[in-house]
Amino acid sequence: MSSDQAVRGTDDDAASMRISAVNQGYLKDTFAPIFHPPSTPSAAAGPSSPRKPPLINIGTHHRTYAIDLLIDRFFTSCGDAGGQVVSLGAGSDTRYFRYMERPHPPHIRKYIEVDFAASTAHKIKQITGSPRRLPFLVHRNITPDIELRSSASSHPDAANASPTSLISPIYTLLPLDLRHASPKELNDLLLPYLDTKVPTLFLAECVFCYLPPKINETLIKCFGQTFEKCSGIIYEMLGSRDSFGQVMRRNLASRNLDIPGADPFPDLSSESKRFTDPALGEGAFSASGAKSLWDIRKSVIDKEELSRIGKLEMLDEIEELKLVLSHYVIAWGSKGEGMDALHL
Amino acid sequence: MASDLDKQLEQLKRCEIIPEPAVKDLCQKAKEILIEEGNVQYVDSPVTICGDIHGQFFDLMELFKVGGSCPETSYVFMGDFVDRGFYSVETFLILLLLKVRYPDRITLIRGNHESRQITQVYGFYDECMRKYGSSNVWRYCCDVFDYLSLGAVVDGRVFCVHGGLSPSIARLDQIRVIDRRQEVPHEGPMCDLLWSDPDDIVNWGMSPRGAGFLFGGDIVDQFNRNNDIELIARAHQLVMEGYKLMFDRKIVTVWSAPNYCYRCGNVASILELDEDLRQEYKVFDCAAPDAKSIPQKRPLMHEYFL
Repeated sequence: MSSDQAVRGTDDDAASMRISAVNQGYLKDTFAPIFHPPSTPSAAAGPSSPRKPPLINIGTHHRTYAIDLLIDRFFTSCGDAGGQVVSLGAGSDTRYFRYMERPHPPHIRKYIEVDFAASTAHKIKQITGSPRRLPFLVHRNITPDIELRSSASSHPDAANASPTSLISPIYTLLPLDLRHASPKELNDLLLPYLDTKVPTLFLAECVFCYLPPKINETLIKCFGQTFEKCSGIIYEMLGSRDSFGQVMRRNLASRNLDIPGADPFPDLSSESKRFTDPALGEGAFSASGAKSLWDIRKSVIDKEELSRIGKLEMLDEIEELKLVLSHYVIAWGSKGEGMDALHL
Repeated sequence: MASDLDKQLEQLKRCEIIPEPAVKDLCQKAKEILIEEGNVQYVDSPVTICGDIHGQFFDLMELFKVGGSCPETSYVFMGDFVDRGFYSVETFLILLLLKVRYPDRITLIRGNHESRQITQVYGFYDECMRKYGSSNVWRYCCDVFDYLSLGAVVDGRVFCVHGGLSPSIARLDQIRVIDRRQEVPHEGPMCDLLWSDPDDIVNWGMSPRGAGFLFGGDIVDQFNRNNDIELIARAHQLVMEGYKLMFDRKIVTVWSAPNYCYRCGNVASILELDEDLRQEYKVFDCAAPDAKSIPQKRPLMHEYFL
């Protein structure tokens, strides 16, 4: 399997973890089963059990809970004018649909998901392919008006025929290989759909870790420069070289996965500083912070919620949970007037 | 009979499972031996004390290289033989075979994972289904779990238990009156022995695990004094350095699963007690990773958030 496929395959992991957490009652997400892509060749070696270990379900819960909370705080900062979201490497993520299903969804002006053309094409198929699914997705005016486009520049293979872009008044899916994206390409792709005067949040969940550090810096800088009021959320593993980090790199390498983008950020403080790094120039953010999933368990998640999920499954070990959760981080940054509510 | 057992031992040492009827037979013999043992089994020094193994078969073979093979070395295993690792079946069966073959040279104590409920969540049940195509072997093994001792005492001076102490147990005698032949209960003294943890607190505290208790140094002091015990040896908690002494060396956690779950990056240890109960901790790393130690068709135990 190529490293391309391996990176795309990580979305399969994330989606099956989401489904497991939903099935066990950790999360509510009626859309997860619709977007779960078919198994990658690696998973075909043996049917991966749909039920994940409690540690994985708990981590998936904490990650989702904390990022949702940050996004809610972003929209609180935006006020009545609303805000725009750009989700990088979104894969089969269901967040937009979950938000719109709420009785009182936040004022989302635009929600753009960017990913490999193969991934956006796949997601568009899930959304539009099955006549039974579409009405479910368009209810409550989620996507009343859809335009589909095939990317002109895509390779002349079988996938060429399938649309890779989905344009609708709010929800928009756009194809881009982030590994080779220049600031100009990113802006050319996004700006036709975004208003640079509107507060804008970029979301990078387990994306930057697979990209070269220079590209990540460019992406953060580009958002910081383009939008007056901007926030960013990054979630990924810490790049520490302790024994856990070494074993993780070895295990990921056996799946043909490499995490060059995590290397420069071995701890929480380096993750936080990446938003305020002077190297970002005028793209630098003015405030930032970072917490590990373990910190989030200890100090962010509502006690009642912790007690609720504590009853779902018997958790046999705390040390292992602490070790693993301490190696995953959520970092945030913001700039512009009134955007400082974004923190955990 | 000894030659049959030796043949099966050779097979299991190669990490090959034995047929279901042989497992049934082995479990029956094991129960006949275990039923004669006390809730707290007396053991003589010198002896080597081991913590959690969790189905890491090749690391167990490493442990025997470090500690010496059984029966040449006498062993106490403090539970959690199964779950989590890829080879719970082979791990438990080889320990059980050693028990039946050399009953006086190996003592097996029950851990919180030797339970019907826990093994259905953490892998042993699924592994039995995968390797034998039915739940029979899992059921035979769970029946044996109910017969395992709850603790051991070496020369009357070192108390071995999987988890720790219980607020309902001030004296060792109180363990002897427990009817241990049952599934691990959700609360009460038997549950506490298998689930509790020492912690830097005073007195007793709530356990974050949802079963058992946390107990402080004062509780350990009192228990050791009341029972003329110099050391409590227990397992149950991952220790990155392999072992951890606490409370003025009155209690130690021994952890024997290196690179736990093929993910944690920790070392493991065993505790050797000589004739005078002098302690020597032998630290060891995981078996060299080769094609066998992590199978191709693996259950995704060492998953990451990707």
